Amino acid sequence: MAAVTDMDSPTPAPAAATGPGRRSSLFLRRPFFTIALLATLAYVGAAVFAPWVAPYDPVQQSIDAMMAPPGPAHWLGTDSYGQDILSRIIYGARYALVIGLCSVLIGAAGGLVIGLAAGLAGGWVEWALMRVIDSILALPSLIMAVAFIAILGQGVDKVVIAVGLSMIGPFARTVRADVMQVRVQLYIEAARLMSIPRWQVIARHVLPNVVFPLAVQVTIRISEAILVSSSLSFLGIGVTPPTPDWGLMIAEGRGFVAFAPWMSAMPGLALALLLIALSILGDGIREEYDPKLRGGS
Amino acid sequence: MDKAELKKAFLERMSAKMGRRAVLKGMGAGLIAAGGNGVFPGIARAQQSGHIRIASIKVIDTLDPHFTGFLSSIQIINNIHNGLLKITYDGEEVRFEPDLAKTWELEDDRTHLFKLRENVKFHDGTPCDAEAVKFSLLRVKEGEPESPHAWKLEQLEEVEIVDPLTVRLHFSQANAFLPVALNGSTGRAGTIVSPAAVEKFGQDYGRNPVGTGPFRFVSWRENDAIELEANPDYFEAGLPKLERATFVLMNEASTAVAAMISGQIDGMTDCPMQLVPQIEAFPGANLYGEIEGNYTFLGMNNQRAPFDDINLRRAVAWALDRETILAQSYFGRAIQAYTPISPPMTKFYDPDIATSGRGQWFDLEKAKQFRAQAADQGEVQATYMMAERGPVGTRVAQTVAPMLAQIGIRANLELIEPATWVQRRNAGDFDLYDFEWVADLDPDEAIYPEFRSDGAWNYCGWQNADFDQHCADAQVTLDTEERRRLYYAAEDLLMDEAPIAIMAHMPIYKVFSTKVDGFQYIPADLVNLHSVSLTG
Repeated sequence: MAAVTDMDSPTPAPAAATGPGRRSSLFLRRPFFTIALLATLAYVGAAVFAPWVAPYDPVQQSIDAMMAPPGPAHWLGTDSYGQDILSRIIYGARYALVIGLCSVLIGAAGGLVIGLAAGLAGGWVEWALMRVIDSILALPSLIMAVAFIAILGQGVDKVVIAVGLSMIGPFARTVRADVMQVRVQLYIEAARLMSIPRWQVIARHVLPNVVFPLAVQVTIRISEAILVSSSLSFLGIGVTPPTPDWGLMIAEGRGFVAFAPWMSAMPGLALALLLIALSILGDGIREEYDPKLRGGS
Repeated sequence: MDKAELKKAFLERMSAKMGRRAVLKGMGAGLIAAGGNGVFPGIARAQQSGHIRIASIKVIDTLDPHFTGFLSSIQIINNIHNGLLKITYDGEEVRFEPDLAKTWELEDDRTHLFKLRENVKFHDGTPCDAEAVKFSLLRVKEGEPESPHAWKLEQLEEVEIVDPLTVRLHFSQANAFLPVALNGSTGRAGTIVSPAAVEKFGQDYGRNPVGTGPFRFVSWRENDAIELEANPDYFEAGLPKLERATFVLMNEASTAVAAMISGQIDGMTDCPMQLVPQIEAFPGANLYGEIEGNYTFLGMNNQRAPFDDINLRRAVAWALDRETILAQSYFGRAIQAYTPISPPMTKFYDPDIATSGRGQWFDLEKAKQFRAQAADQGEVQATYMMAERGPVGTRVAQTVAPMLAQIGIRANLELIEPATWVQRRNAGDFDLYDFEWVADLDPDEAIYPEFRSDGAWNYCGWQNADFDQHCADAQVTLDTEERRRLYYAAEDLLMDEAPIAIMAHMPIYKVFSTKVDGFQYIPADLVNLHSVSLTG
């Protein structure tokens, strides 16, 4: 951290130095952040404890309760197979969160490698890598994911890889930008003059400066990854039915919107709330910890 | 002949001589008076008017009747072309009647004599005569490239032109399936095309179809619309009534329903079962649909493990709870199928089939007995490939999977692209799949090419020489009673050895705005606009 603040802002130290005290007041200063954090934790809890929390088996069909509206037996209603929507949403949280997190990690790892390589190598390697990344960035990540799914096939694991690959571009850009800032620093120059091996310079001085902004990016982009994976399922090319996936549930309910609106509305609401919570969470973390933003405020 | 019929016959002759428009101009006043009396409702409004817009939901491959594989194409083709025969339906019985043929006589069981209507012209002005009929039939039978419907005319030996309006068809053997093959609708093989147009357009005929039908082809804009306009010289008196017809190409049925409700379109060529309640709730539309000539089934791969085991197949056939499937997969709109022969095959369908003891139905005890005799007593893993295709997409697979679990079969549902699905089915790369054979009006086309040991559509790979023999015999048997006996015997073998578990006969729906009059529903998935008109 110190290395970056050297360049970025002349006096960041006092704010950062109060460590624990500052953290304890965070929740009071940012009530929305707190609510969002609690909401996210609720989703995580539902996902982890799904078998105990969900009132029904998510793939238990019931011919007697097809398209039942929300009521005491089924709080959020049932779908066209008589499956309980609340249970499916709770189990669906597992898929949403796991797919979101894993694919973002794939994207971040890929972005880190490419960004580091481009930023450190410089010259034509950097030029070539960044032009490739630029051309990837020219396409929305959903389009990229569709293309990867077409190559890989369908299924949860394939969706994770496809969404992850489609997110490498933005991560690579961020990492490279950070590397470029670091590589001109005096201490890097000094380390080089002291003929410290290159991998050591990278590991000790470059990586720490890059990883933290990357982590902030990860929290922000999880919601995008969840949205893209749900979109894939909605389009019928992601997760396979009868998996309780939100995108799939929205798509399945679409044909019945006129007379059983809860079939699409409930999973849609679940998805929307999680995305809003994650966005607020991501923004909050970024504003708190991103050195660039913090310096400006 | 009563007075009205005399008048009609006279008008027909007149119209043939003078062209329909001249007749109408000259006799307009009298005709309108007659129409007021309800004698000639068609002719009274015969001046074509109105422009109908119909959403066509499924893929249109080509408008060449001899090469299309899709009913969605036939729906349009049938408005542009005529066949030697046509399908009619009076609400009770499906019949095959002469269309371009004026009369159809059986000289003996292998020789058919067709006398053609006089003065019928193709839309390009060339005459539709015996030469055109010969040309069209031979184009199907032995044309290059080969028509997918060539098999329907396999036994056609010679097309003899007796005179310019008479053809005699010689067959190598009696063929009970012939009425279906020779009709211009679902049979396709008997559709008559303009030889001059085929000559002119060659391979592009499918984009420039020229027939004798009530509508002329105008244009086909890719992914947008197919435009037709009235053929003022059409041979059926008083038809067509519309001036223009546009088939709007919409891929999404739900979009079409929205367009229907907002009044942008006047009809839909198809309405998936799940959208039917929306149409029923909308006062501005009429729904047409009955159980058609089709059957749906769960297909098993007989050529490889695990379903090369007859006892496992039988277990599956008896384990499917048809009532749940009907309610859950088909929204309670289909009826239970016990065998492939379906209700519109009026001469063959047994209305009491449910109590006849023939076919397959749900009996879990029986299923478990067969399961106990299966070679593999452990949990059987099976790949069930499904796609967002057909009338209910993946619903059957999702409904059936838990039923299979009850008899120790774990169905691994695999969702693939419709095109890949077709490829894999044709290559036999599956354990389970569900499908439907549709628009069949004769038992021959319903089971023979589908399950013949070397049949082109025998994707399950079931083989049974007795079945083949029964079907082959039925094909050359003209006595209906005897034919029925043979088909029942063939079906009994099929249901007992269970290459498929049969599920349902489905209704196929059409939707028209309440402004649309005169649509004649035919249970063969047709959208004939011949007698359709628009009011208001």
